[in-house]
Amino acid sequence: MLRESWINAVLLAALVAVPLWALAAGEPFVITLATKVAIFALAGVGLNLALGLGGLISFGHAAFFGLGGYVAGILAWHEANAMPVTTLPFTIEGTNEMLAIWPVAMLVAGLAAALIGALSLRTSGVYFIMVTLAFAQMLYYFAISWPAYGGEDGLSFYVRNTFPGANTFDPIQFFAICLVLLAGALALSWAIRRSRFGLALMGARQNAQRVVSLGIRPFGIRLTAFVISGMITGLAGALYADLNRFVSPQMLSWHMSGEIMIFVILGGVGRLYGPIAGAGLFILLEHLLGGVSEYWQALLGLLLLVVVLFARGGLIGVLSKEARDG
Amino acid sequence: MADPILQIRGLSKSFGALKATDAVSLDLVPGEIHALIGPNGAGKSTLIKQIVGELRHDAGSIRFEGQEIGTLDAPARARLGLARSFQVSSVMPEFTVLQNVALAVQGASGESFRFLRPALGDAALVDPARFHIAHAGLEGREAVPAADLSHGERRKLEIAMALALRPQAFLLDEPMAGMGPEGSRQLTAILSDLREEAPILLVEHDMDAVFALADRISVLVYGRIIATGTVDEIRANADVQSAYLGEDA
Repeated sequence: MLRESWINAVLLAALVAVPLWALAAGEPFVITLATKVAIFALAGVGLNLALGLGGLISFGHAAFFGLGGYVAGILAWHEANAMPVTTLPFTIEGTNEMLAIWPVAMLVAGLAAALIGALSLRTSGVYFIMVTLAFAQMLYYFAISWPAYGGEDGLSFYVRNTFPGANTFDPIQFFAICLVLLAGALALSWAIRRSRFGLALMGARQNAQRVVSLGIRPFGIRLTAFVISGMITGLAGALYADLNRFVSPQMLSWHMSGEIMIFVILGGVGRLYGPIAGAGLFILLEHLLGGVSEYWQALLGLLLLVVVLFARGGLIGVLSKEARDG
Repeated sequence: MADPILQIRGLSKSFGALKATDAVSLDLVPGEIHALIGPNGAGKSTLIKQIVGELRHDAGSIRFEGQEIGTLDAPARARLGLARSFQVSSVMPEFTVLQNVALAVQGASGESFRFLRPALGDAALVDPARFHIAHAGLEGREAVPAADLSHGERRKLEIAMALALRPQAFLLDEPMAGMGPEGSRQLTAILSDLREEAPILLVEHDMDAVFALADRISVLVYGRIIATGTVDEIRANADVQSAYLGEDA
């Protein structure tokens, strides 16, 4: 465990140092890449709660990522066009305040997770994977076919949302905002895995029948974890929309669900800092190999295969030479 | 005899044409070890599963401390104080001994929705857990992952987890299974003390242990109880001898 905490410290230091170097060297694009890593890692931290601690293999977390993104996009679009989101039953205005957008994004993602979780958690194994995928795809096709917010073309908003006291257009300032939120999610995740709730959640993953015989109902525990997980991933989605100043149905598609899952698996399922390692490696490969060949994802697939077959603890597991989950 | 803690009347369960449990009536009274024996396939595990709520019975009643519990689900029955151990060791393999037992204490307390305070920094969980670990003979092994325990130690861990539920009754499904002679002897001593905590319904194949421990024995054959009595009565029973002991012991 000592070595893993060293690796974690190095990962976090790198995530801070790289954009600071980029700032000094005048490479704003690198800062944007680091911001993408922080946001994807945040989405992965969310999924890791369900997947890593709870053993809930959700192949539908794009639903929460995309919903968070659309909340940010839609609120910002209404603000920019000076049109209320709705006037019935009462008027809801758009907003470009991140502090207002984030809670709404998390609330919407959390409600969706409660609904999807309540239905999908009645199944397990392959069926759970398929039901979560099906719900995310439903939202994806809905977004495509709903013309009000751009349909297939997505929705652009030209001004990044604002944060009090910060210039969010400055890449390093926006990065700092994302980094702080990531750190907050990591801290929450760290507390949860040591808490009573975490004990019950991890226990239910290892041996649900035994947990039942101890007087604990796994369903409520898992549903709560799924909702928290969806909310964190939803927050990441809102940040991602702000990074690109654009949302599209792509954020809701199964590719996105797969990518979030890849961040977690590459880094190490159930490892606290796994999503940072995974998202970092993913962006690094995309950036380095993407320039060489547009088929870079074939190489990513190969890497994933190697990790799944030979290094179950993911990148962090390999580096810390400790194969045990959790 | 004192009022039974667990009172089963006319319990029946069929799987298609197979009567797995056939009008079983059984009592568990305070302070006793009541052994349930019978040949393989007699329906012992099926009966246990109905008592704990893992299987729903077709007919009959299950009363626990005077209350009908037949409609409650398994977690609710566990919280009333019906502790169970499994035929095949059933623990959380990645958890340490302490985490396993702490989770059992937590289950009994009913407080699982606490998100921020570390569970293992909570004296309300850890102190009772350490006490039960010592009671089950696993002192000094608290930090060992359950997966790394020997078979015998894992059986003891199960006992510690059952104890942590502060049960009103134990249902132990073949606790001696796979134990060597030394392990069986140790566990026999632990179980003998355990009956002071709460009565035990003991499903066991190890006849030496059954005869050493049991206050009463019920014999289950083809889902039906053919005899209930003291050790001597069961040994002398002609039906039991032809149905079971004659061929098996």
